[in-house]
Amino acid sequence: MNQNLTTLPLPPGSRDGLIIQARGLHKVYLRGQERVEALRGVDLDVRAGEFVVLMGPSGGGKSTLLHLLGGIDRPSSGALTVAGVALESASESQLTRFRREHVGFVFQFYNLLPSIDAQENTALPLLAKGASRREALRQAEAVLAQVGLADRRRHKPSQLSGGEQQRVAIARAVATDPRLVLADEPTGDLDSAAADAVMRLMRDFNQRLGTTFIIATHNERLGAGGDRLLELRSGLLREKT
Amino acid sequence: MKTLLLYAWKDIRHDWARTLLSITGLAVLVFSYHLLGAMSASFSNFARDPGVNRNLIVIEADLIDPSEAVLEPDALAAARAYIPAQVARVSPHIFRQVRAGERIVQLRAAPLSDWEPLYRMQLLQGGWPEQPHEIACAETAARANGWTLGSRVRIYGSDFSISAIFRAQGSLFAALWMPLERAQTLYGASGRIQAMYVQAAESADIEQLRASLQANPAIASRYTVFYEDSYTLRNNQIIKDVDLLGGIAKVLALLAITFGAYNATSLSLVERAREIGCLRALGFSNTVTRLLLLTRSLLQGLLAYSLGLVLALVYIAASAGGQVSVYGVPLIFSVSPAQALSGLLWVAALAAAGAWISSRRLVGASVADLLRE
Repeated sequence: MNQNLTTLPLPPGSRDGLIIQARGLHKVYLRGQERVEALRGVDLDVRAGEFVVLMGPSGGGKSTLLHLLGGIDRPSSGALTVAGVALESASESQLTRFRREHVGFVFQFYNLLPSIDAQENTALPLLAKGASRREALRQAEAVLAQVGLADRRRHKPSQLSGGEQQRVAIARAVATDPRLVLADEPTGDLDSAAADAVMRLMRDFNQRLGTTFIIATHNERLGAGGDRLLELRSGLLREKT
Repeated sequence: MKTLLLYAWKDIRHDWARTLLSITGLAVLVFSYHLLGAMSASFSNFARDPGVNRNLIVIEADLIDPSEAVLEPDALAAARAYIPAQVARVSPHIFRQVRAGERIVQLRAAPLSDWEPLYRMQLLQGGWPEQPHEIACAETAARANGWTLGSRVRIYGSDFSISAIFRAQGSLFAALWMPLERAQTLYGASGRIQAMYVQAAESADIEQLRASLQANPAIASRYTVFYEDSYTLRNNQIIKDVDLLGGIAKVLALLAITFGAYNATSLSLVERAREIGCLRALGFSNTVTRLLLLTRSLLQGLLAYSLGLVLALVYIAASAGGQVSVYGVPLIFSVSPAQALSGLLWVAALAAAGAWISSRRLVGASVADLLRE
């Protein structure tokens, strides 16, 4: 069993209480005939407003854990409550609603839709929540201004640099003011300057809005900027000091 | 819905080259569907065109080609005995298949005095043949062969000039006509006829008349008495067969459209698995995601349909205005509003079904799996 995690004092502007409570999370995949245990009994408590950096080697289970925390995959066993929703027993429609209401995602390869511009990409989660197109675009424009891309809002992803695309992805993740943002290797495809800018941006949103961030990375240097540093290796989670 | 349409349209525009390929593939199938549909409808109309229902035809039974028939004078005399109580007119008739240029055309001959009252031929241009070298031509045959008044047609070694263009009900009249005596002279068969048309008197019961004629000793042994319209349909069986084949081909074209729409959508899904996973991660429900794919498929189908329809209309218009002749049978190809509408509904329904079926995998797949693809 991995060691139990202690929670750090809440940072300024954070929201009170635990946002994530995981107990004994297991995730098993079948890769052909092979049984792959990606998570082997993960316990995790995260307070609202924390900026958590999750480190570990590729294949260590970081993405799997983020997928479980974000409700885009289900644990094989264990209990997982995020933002008050028991994800291990939630139906598909409940998971969809959970993602829509509470979570923002940032992916390594941005996952922006190539056919629409930055503003429309940012507006997508707002549309998913039921906002009118006009309102969604208005809010998206405001968020893009916060990430410094107001003048690039009409550009399609192919017309933006990697760093700019990731800033659009961050804008999209925070557009609905979610309680939790999960970022899976958000700097993995960026040069160091762009990676620093992206980390600063996420930290800024964390501090201004009190949004909880969990960022998976294998970049040791970037890991230093978090409130908490966790390491996930071979499916086991431990606090890293 | 407006937003779905907008995003689907943007997606189609974004991958324009690929979309154009898919649309062109589907459009070719839609084009084939409309062409086959036009052909099938044309054959159907030809076969079902109503004849003159007060007419009976007396002709040798079990003949495939009426031009091989022979009607003896005693049968003609027997029918004339019913005048005037039950029969208004009896018209001796000659059928011939003639080669006019590169086409086979049906030649009909009957007494000129019967043309309007019995065969209901309506003169459109020129005048009925008066001179030995003059003949009349049905308007459909004229259109199909490019003939006008004064056009010369060589029949059985003699040159004839078209003096009249007429319109008449029924497919029987899609032919060249000449007075009976002239045809008998042309073919060196004075007095010989091949069939007779019997027009029932106004007050006569045509069913009783047919039964009575059929039972007449001069007719019963060798001839069969048909209602004109049923004889026309019987003789047009080949047309109905072609009509059936056209219908089958049309159904095959529809099936091809189904598979085309299904394949185009499936390919689109495979390529967009990650985008679809992303949309679902952002909180779009399965239903909305599928609706987006369905809208895209519908838009693509409608674009393909429009292109295919335009191609078919242009092709038909370029083919002598849709007027063609198949073994001397003049046909008019056209895409009717009903066919256009039914084609549109079919394509829309099949594109939607194809999208819905091929997106089934989405429902089963986890968002994480989609994002990994």
